[in-house]
Amino acid sequence: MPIALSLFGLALPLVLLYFIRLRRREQRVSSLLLWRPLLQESRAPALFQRFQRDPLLILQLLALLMLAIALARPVITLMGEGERKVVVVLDTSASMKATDVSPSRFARARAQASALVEDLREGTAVMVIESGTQPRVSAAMSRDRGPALDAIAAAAPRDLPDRLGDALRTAKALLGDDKRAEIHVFTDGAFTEAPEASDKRIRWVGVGVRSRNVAITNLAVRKNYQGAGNFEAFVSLANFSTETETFNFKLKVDDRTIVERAVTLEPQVRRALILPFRHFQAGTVSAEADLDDDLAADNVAYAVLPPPRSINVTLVSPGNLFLENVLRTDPEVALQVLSPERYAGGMGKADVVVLDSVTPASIGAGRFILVNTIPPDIPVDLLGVVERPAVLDWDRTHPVMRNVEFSKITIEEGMRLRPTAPGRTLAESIAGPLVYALEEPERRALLLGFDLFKADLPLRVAFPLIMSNALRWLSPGGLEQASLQVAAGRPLLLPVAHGVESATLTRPGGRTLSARMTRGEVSFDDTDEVGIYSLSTERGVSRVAVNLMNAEESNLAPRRLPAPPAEGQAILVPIERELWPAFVAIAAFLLLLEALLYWRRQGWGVPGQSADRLALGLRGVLLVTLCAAFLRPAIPQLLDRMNIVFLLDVSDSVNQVARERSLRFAQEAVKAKHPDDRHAVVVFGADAAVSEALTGQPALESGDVKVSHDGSNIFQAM
Amino acid sequence: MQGSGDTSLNQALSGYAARAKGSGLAVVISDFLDPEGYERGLTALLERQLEVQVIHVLSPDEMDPTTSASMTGDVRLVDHETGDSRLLSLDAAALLAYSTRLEEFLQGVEEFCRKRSILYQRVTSDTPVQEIVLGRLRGKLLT
Repeated sequence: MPIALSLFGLALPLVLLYFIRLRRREQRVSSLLLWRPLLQESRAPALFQRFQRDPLLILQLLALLMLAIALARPVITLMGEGERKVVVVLDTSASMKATDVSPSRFARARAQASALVEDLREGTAVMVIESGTQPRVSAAMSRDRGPALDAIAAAAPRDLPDRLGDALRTAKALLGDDKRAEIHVFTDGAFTEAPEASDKRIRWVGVGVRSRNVAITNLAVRKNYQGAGNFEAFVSLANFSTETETFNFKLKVDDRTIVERAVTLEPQVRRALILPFRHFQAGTVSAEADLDDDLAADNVAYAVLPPPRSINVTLVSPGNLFLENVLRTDPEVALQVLSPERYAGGMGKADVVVLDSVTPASIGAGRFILVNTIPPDIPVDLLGVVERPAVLDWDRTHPVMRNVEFSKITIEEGMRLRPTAPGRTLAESIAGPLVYALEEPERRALLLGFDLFKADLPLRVAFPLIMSNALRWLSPGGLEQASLQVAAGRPLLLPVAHGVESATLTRPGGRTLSARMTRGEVSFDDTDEVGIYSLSTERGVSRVAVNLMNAEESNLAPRRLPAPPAEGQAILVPIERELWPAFVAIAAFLLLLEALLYWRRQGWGVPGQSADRLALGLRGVLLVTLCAAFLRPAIPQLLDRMNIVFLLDVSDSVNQVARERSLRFAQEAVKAKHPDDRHAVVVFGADAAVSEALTGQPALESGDVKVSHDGSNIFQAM
Repeated sequence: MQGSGDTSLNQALSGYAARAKGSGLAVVISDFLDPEGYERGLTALLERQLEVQVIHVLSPDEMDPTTSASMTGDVRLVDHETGDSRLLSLDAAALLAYSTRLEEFLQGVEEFCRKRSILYQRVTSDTPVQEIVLGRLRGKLLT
């Protein structure tokens, strides 16, 4: 502020210039007689009188004073209603596609939201949030209504269950405790949790008038082990209408119709169908309810029958009948046995290589089961042996240990291992891990740190279970039936074969996108469209069915929503108003007056003297510049060095795939940054913590920080 | 003949009248821009029984200041004779006031001469002498 006010110091040179100007432009005349009535009376006017008599100088000094004050950016604090903030939350769930109101519930909600935004008073800040799988702020808080209207116009309903609660939590987190804010929720109320009525800022706007809908609420296909190729389809149908509905039901495998029958359902009745069929190849099962109700997305459901497959396993062993037998008895395993001399590392054409008490110079990248061996290129230190290690605990949650009972295993001698790379200890003794799952970017391995001949594991049920689970954990495409079908909005996690580096995902609508891979898995969470998703790799095509199958979404009956709160007395808050525009306006007015006065002296025409023309021109430029200040122009500044802070949301509303994706984004961004740039990482949930302080390191090295996951406090993070 | 020195028209004409002997013709060529006036001097010539004739000379700039490009905006007017100077902003109002004042002055001199039967002729300084003497003044001033 003092610097800005010092601008008024320019008054001194201005006055000096004025006096210099007075000594210029002498005009000789024969006599002053005729000019006398016009002349200033005093022969040598005092300084003060000169000021008094030149209005131009006075106007210039006043304008300069106004500009100096404007640059100091004075503010005034008033008590008033403050800036009104409005958040529009659009329910984009599947039920909003219902056509009980024309043209659809969502179109109606969108029109109402647009009307609300258009009717807002000038200066009201507005934000738009779409409630999808994750809440998405499609228009940030701004007084400019254009982006909000564009976001509302561009929003579309998707085949997703409702996650309105997350959207509301996001809205409230972004608004903080601003009591004047309003959250307008446009929804049909088709959600499980009760609509929040405690927060008086929430205004519920309901759409939808009726429920006339039949839905396939479940489709599951299972193998019937009474014979090869025998399957059973379990289908659940529900009538959410208030009237009896009769419709044609079809079950198809690819283009072959398995069952077609008329089904009649009483109002609010659910019926389960068990439909056996035979099929020997991979295929797509589709169940269709053929009727014209208010919601089409739940009239069809899909399931995928996986192709018959085999796991190519290479066993390298000096001779181990336990291992050979357990691998040969697995119907999906194609086994090749090699003597240690014939194996020189690598995978060959195998999907999994099992090394038993064989230690080659290196094994390289791939998928391995390492029994009683630690090859040199495995990031595990072998510290010695341990006699009779007792099993202290084992990880029951890991896929390899599923259904495995490890408590009664006796081991005569085990390896003392110390892993130096990421992974999980699956069974451990007091001396360290006995069974370890190693997970590196290019290598995945299961380590059994003991000789099978010096343990009773091969004699236990746990042994074939561990080997079977391990092969399916290590082997690509080891999908189970249930994994080939996910609910809309849930992430897809598809394992891919070793060596596969790129994959293309094709959505049901035909749109293709390049899939991202992490640790041998493709993750994809935009499953917002019902149908079959295909993942194409160089090893073949995998398919996954995405279904709505959500009774809450299918039940279109309009819910009762809380009434809007009564308009209370306006809450007055202190508001700071900047006054610089007023001072600039006064300065512009004074300078306009001064310029007009000057121009009048020039006879309202183009001045004869070039200096006068320049003076008049400069006055015009100055006025235009001052007026341009009201447009608040900004110059983008190019900086050579940036400080980048990544805020990573790890709250419960962000699923694991999204967390991985955000971390990966940050890692790639840090790799690509300019050497002079610096970065920092802040992790936040209900609270926030600095995971990595500002650093110029070329890689992300997030520390292990603990934050509460039950909330999103982005303000604290910021 | 070169003009020089301060103007005191009354003093000059009265002095001449006092020194003149007998009747005769007195031709006064002047711009009459004398702060002390001209009336007393001309009256002194008439009282001395001289036939007085007046040629009132003004420069074109004085007749119309707008013809001079430099006579706009803020100027310092310097009296050519006295060296006295004044500040002036030459805007439209000032020029209008000057024209009014000039007209009053010219009318005043001409009216003074007419009432006293003094032959009066107004010329501008850029008019060639031949044109004045042989053209405009033939048969009027000099018979």
